[in-house]
Amino acid sequence: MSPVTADLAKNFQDLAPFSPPIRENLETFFTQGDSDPRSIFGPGAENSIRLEASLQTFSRVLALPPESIHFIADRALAFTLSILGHAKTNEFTTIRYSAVDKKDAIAAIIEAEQFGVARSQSNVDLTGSIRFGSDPDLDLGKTLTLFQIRNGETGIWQTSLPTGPLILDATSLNPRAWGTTLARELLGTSSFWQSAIFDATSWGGPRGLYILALNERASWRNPLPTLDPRLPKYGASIPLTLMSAVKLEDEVARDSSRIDKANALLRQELRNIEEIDLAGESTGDRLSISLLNVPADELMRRLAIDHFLVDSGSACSASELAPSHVLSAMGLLTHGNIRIRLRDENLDSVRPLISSIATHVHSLRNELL
Amino acid sequence: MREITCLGMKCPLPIIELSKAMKKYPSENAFLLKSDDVATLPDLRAWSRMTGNSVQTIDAESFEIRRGTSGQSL
Repeated sequence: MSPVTADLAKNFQDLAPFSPPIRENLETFFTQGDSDPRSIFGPGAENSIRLEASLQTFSRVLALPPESIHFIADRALAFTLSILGHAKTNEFTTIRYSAVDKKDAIAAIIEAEQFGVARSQSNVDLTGSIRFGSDPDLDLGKTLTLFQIRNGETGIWQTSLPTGPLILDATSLNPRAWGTTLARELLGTSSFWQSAIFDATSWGGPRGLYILALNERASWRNPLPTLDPRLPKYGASIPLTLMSAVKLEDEVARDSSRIDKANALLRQELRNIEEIDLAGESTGDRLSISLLNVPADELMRRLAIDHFLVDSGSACSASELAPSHVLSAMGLLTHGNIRIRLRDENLDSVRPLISSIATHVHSLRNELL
Repeated sequence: MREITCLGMKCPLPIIELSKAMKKYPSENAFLLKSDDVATLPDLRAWSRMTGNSVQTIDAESFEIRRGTSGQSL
């Protein structure tokens, strides 16, 4: 095993160290990637070509017209630009969203009320399916729906599209399964999507690169003060943009069957632990579990002693005292929650991880009860 | 009805204290859990589904627990 993969072999956290395709080119990204692409000479001109190639990659994989793609450095800013930009046009009377949407997005929807746009929250069921329902008071032609195609905490995909114009939250997409989703089909063929938001970390890219796609036929006006009719880059870094494109190319070329099998194995084996809540079904590279009468931070500490790194989600832990709004909305247990992210590099450690979880859950419950 | 006071305790302690009390007093059928932690209500909902015990909300900080009535919820 190479030193690079050794670092990742027992890391099941959402944000892991850069994977090999990024590490191998890291110096190039930073030594050549920060030249001004507006320059027509030297590395600047080369960067212009690299950025254009990156744009073509994002366009091809995500099924977006190149001219719709804008790079943004911050997730909350991307949601704010999208949601308030549509609200500012006065084309919409209501924004629909769900109880499991990201807090950044919900905050922007609340802010949209200043433009006279009402909000309507939809619930989710125990499987994580969003119930947009059919409120007879809503004019669906004037209702904009924020549609989260996949939940980042649980990995659950939505399988049916809501009616009417929508904003697609694709910040937790799994690119290996992306090609078969309704959302990708929607982006490629329909005019119903108004904007879409992507996060490079969802395909193993770096933190700090978000894509805001604006449909050219959408009603949108920049909600922030600007004298430039074009959308500014708002701090997006060229090196991070190049890294994200390289990793996206790498990720979509990979086979998802091993990860799907590992997820199925985790589910099958973890169900043998008593009083466990597994979120959703067939969740690809992500898995969220909650264990009754187990403090998540103590379980994480014991797993770390065995060299396994996992996340505790935003459920009750020493660092986050508020219950996870996602787990709570689904009716799942909010304490004792850990999240597991599967990658090619950690699949050989799945069986030892299952064994470690089972051992520590058993001993913790014996000590506490 | 046996009272379990968990005021000031944070998640997951109220649920753990409830589980301990139910284990310690197997002949008790009803418990009153007092908790002011915001996670208690959503966790009791899940706990009720997972264990088959029923929960009734008395007020924002008081919950009546009854053993084994197949998870009637809140």
